[in-house]
Amino acid sequence: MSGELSAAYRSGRVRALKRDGLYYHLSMEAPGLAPSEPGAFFMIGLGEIESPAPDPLLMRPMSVLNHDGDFVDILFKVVGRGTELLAAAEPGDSLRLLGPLGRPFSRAAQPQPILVGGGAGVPPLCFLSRRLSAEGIAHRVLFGFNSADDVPDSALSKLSQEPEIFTLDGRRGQKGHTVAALAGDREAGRIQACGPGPMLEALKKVRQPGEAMELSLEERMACGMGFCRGCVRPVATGDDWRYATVCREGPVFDADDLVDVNEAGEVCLQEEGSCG
Amino acid sequence: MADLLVFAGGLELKNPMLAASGCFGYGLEADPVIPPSLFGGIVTKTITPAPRRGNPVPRLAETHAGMLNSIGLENVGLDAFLADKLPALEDVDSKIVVSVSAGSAGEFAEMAERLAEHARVDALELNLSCPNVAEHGRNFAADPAAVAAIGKAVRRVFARPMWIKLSPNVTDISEVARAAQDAGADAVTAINTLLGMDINIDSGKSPFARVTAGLSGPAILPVALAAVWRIAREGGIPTIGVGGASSAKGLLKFLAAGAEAVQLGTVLFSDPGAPQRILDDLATHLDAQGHTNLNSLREQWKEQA
Repeated sequence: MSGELSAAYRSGRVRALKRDGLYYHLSMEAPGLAPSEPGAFFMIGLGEIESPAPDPLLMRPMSVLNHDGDFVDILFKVVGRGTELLAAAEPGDSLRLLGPLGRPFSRAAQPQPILVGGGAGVPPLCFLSRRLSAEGIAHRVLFGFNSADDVPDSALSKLSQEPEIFTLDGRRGQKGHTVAALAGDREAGRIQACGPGPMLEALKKVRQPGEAMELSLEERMACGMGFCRGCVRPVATGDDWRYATVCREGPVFDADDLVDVNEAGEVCLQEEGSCG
Repeated sequence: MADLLVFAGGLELKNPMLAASGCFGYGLEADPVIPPSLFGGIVTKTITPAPRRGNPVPRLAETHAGMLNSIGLENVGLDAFLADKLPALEDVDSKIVVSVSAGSAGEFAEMAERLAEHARVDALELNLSCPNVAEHGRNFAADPAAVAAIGKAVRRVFARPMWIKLSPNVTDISEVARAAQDAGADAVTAINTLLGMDINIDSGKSPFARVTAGLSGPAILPVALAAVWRIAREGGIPTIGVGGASSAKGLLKFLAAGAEAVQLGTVLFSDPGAPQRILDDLATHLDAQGHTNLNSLREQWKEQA
């Protein structure tokens, strides 16, 4: 657990819901929220705060795309029943919001931030890029998508700088993975990434010696506040390891703190390839 | 405004609403979204003699009106609990019930002896029924003789209220409740999670490393009510109801089934506004029915029976 919660549980309302590439852009209004930092998330559920429906039971963790006063925006992909229902919401529908939650990305000019997003991992980095630009911090933005059709152009158009786009089908931007663009010798920066597991793993391999790296992780959550212990990832503690909650100690972690653990509960050293 | 005070399992609680073990951490994590002092009592996350890391992810899966968990009794261990977690609860205006689990009657008693040295520990809840671990608390609660042996060992060294948490995964829960009563327990807590599992149809396998998991949430309320009723109708030992309550209505159902108090579990994850709303709705309900306290409502239920 790190620090006191700044989160509040509030009743909200759908302002607008529209498609943006493969994603849904949900604009919400909810009074009485503390401001969000890029990387923070909200637990979001449909229904009245006075009588939430028992089904679906749990709220869903959603990264903040933008948060300005009473207005919170998210960008999400339909992956299951919860997001399916959220994608069917209409303006005026009641929502429940718990947040802002979680440890955000750091913001510093040096070393220069390199934002790397993949698919549904792009939203918090859009928020970060806008904030960095507003603070006059020069940074790179690399976003990768499976297909040209996936690209959330509307969300990207709000950035102050054009992101470098990569698509696997090659119909937009450069063909291939974002990570390939960072391979080879280059000046070390501060990698700040969010995306699928394989992308984050690949990023570790193109990291320059001593390069700072923050990874935003995803995990199934129930409470979002660190007490159900449902969303854990192994982190190093000296020579040993423990489980940290993604919702409270994350979702943004220093890559150096994360470790892989095998079935026997031993830390796997990547150099030895013992995690097979 | 009606008084919500109750006497439950040997404790005087300012209201009949407790936080269930494993569903409110060590009591402070959710503060101030869920202020701990709202509760009549807080049952801590289960403590074991040594720290436990718990199970790998996934630890959660949603079901219809419920959820499966396989946390695996992750906890800081008794030493760290006494050093860091318990002192932090000093100013919380709720009774503190410490949930404990161990591998044998002797280990349970050793933990109870050390916890007895701390005045902040108002009661113990023996977790004999976690479905998610291999060794600790292997379903002792399915074996009346084991329940009696552990209960007696703790009773000898712990004079404050002792509750024993029972499993629904048994043929006759009232038989196990009798064993708890014979051991000198002040109450039984009913019920722990129901054994359940999920299947990923691509792999054909359970997503959980330990295959099975514990089912909780609104879906299990009827099961919990029946368990409480079966124990309560024998009249031998007080019950603390738990399982699927998510509103004042659910809480009242447990009280009517015979529970002396009710624990909130999964609803604390899904609806952090529930505890305050439940207290408000309870008071409103009593006022509207012309009762000044919960005993008066209980009397009315008895008269109508």
